[in-house]
Amino acid sequence: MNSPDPSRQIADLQDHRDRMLLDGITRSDDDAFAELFRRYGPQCLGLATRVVADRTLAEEIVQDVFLGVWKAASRYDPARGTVRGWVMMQVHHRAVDVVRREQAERRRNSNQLPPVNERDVEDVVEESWMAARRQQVRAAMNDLPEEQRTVLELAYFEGMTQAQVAAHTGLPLGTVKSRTLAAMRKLNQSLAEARAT
Amino acid sequence: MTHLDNEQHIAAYLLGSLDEGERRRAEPELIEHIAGCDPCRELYVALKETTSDLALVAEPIAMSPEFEDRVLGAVRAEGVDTLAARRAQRVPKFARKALVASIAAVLALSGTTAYLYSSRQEERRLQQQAAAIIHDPAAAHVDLCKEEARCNVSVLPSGKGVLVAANLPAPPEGKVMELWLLKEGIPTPAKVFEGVRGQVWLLFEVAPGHYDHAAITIEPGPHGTQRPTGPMIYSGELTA
Repeated sequence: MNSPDPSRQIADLQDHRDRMLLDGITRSDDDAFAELFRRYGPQCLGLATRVVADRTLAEEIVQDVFLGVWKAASRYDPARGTVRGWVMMQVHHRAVDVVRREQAERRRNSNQLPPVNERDVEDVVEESWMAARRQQVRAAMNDLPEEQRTVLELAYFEGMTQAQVAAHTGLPLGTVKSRTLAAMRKLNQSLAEARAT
Repeated sequence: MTHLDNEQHIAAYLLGSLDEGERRRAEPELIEHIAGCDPCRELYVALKETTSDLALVAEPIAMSPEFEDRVLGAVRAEGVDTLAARRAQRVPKFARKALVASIAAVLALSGTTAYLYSSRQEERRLQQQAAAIIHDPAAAHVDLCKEEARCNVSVLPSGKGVLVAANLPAPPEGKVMELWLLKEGIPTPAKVFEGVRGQVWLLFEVAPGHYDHAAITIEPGPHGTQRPTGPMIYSGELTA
């Protein structure tokens, strides 16, 4: 029998707690909502800001997503992943939609990226497991070959379609597809190894 | 599409990097392919978790008090998911008697539980113990019923409890169902069992305490696990 993976156990317990919070939200428990919002709001805001490059727009996205969680927490299906993944995916999809509608593109061109100031980052209060996980993910990203990391960042954080990534990098579409898959596989493997150590 | 095409589509789909038309075309093919291809299903599950982790690369940003107030205020002003609220609402005190009666009714009907017990006399003795727990005023109860399945859990502060269930779907081959009691999010394994076709009641005993939730997950058989690893199929709040 494999030895238990402590970080996996912590993540499982966190997800259990998250599911309990969702359970509370379905019963209109606004304290449960506030706990979930404070737990993941900063990360959601960081993700949305990174994608749309506009703090105000990012706040609107995060607000919309969390209002959706409040109104339809029962739509969460445990079989399809963690609560954190479910919320982050919604934020990412909304942010990418915004980018693709080119509303943010104009801001992106005119503003460039000063939306995150150091004070905002320093003021973040988060649980240690999430900070530890972030370190693992960043290390795994840094370990990717640059050409793989580039396609991943353009797709996920810039909200580009694969055709747009190909146009942006000048690579053939097939190469973009194969590099994206290779990058995701390597990232997954590195994270699995990081969890096991 | 070739197998490799599908793998590439899984990565692109999860990253959100298919355009709207591609996504609409790829989705049904992916669903069909994943359903019949174990390696792709495993890849999908693994990369989905990886995509979720990718969000952590972005620097978190502290929420201003104004933003927090705006969202929390908007939530308080909004309606709720009324369907979910109806389904999962707390058991009002006046309904407690009805809940106890309904669990007891299932218990009384559970003549099909003999497979667990070596003799009719033994079954009768255990049934009386179960009834005593259910009717104990100190017991906390939860109704985990969903669709056709009936599933009620009653537990005493002493840690003694009973699970009364009917028509629970069988878990996949090699898997079992595991009942957990939770206190502030910390799960304690309470009982491992298989699918229930008829009606069944199962006694269990855990460490004494005031547990706040019960949940059932699918776990590797035949002995289950000490920590939940599988999907949660039922969960609910224990109310006194």
